[in-house]
Amino acid sequence: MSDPIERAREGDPDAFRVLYEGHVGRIYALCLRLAGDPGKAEELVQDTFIRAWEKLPGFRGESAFGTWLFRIAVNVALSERRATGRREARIGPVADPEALPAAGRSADPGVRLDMEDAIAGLPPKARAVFLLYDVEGYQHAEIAEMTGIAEGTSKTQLFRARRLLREALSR
Amino acid sequence: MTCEQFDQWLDAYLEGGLTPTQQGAMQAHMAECTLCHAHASEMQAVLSAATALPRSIVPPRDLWPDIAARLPARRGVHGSRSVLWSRWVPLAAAAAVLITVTATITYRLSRPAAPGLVLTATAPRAVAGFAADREYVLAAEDLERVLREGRERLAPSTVELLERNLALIDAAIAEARTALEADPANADLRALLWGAHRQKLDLLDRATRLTRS
Ligand SMILES: [Zn+2]
Repeated sequence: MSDPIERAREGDPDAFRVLYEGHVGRIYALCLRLAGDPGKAEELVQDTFIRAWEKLPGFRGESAFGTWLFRIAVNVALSERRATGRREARIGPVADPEALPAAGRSADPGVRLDMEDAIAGLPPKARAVFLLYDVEGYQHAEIAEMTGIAEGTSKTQLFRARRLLREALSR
Repeated sequence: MTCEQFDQWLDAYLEGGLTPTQQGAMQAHMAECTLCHAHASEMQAVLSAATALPRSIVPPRDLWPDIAARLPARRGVHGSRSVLWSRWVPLAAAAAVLITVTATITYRLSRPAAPGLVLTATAPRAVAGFAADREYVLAAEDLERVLREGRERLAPSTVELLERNLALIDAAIAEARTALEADPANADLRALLWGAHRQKLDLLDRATRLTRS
């Protein structure tokens, strides 16, 4: 009886389900913040675990399984966003002011929700770096490895994200 | 120090990455520049809010069935769909699965004894700090209530099998919790705990449906 990772790698869906149960909460939280939308987050979570299942035979345990899974989730979310961005660019911008997030909310649903809103308003790359560094606690070298951006870019994006958040939250 | 310089160093200052001399320069600037002082405390608030965000959020619905339906079979080792999400399996088959899980947990915890030695009548208190653990306990209690009402419709041998397996899985849950209390950050242990909870719900769910058939 080996561990769930080993058994899932050999193609056992029961073992993979055990891994899913153990990690879905953190992957969903990350996807929800990356996507800023619960429906989209569910899709990203599903795609993340499908891709993890496909790539699992190549997982050699150099990193923790959770980190490996995060890396897949970040890639799924960022590539999805690139695809969506391309589609939207073809269609053209929607000139509907109602569709834009409200700037400066009068109602105060609490610090946490303000923070979630402010994060959702960040540009995608800055958002991903902020989430991975300040929320999840990864180092720039790890973020560079997970997202495929340069370490220096990770630092620049974090600097930018923090100042955008400070501005949004101090309004 | 200029305000621009202050801003460049602010992140390192808040993360404790400056030398004592640099720190002193930052503090001296804050003492005379109210704007930078305000910027620093606002940035500190951003970092605290980030740390306070929940790092795990339970999805509003169970995403596993959709994922399971989309998993491509791999190398035919486990080509047939798992018993766990077929619509109905005899309890005996479920029992084999449960014993496997219990044995796995026992193995992971490096316990030499046979699985299921620590029998508990009901799953004990939830692990502190794990809201999902508590949700599982409540869900199981709901099903157990339904099951008690319909249990006379089950064959005595089925009831006996059911109780034996529930005891096994409760023992597995208890062991995983004890281990998690000692090592709360261990993702594998958490995975085992959630897995055991799910197995329990599956078993209870199947048993309650059996009372209605
Ligand atoms: Zn200043």
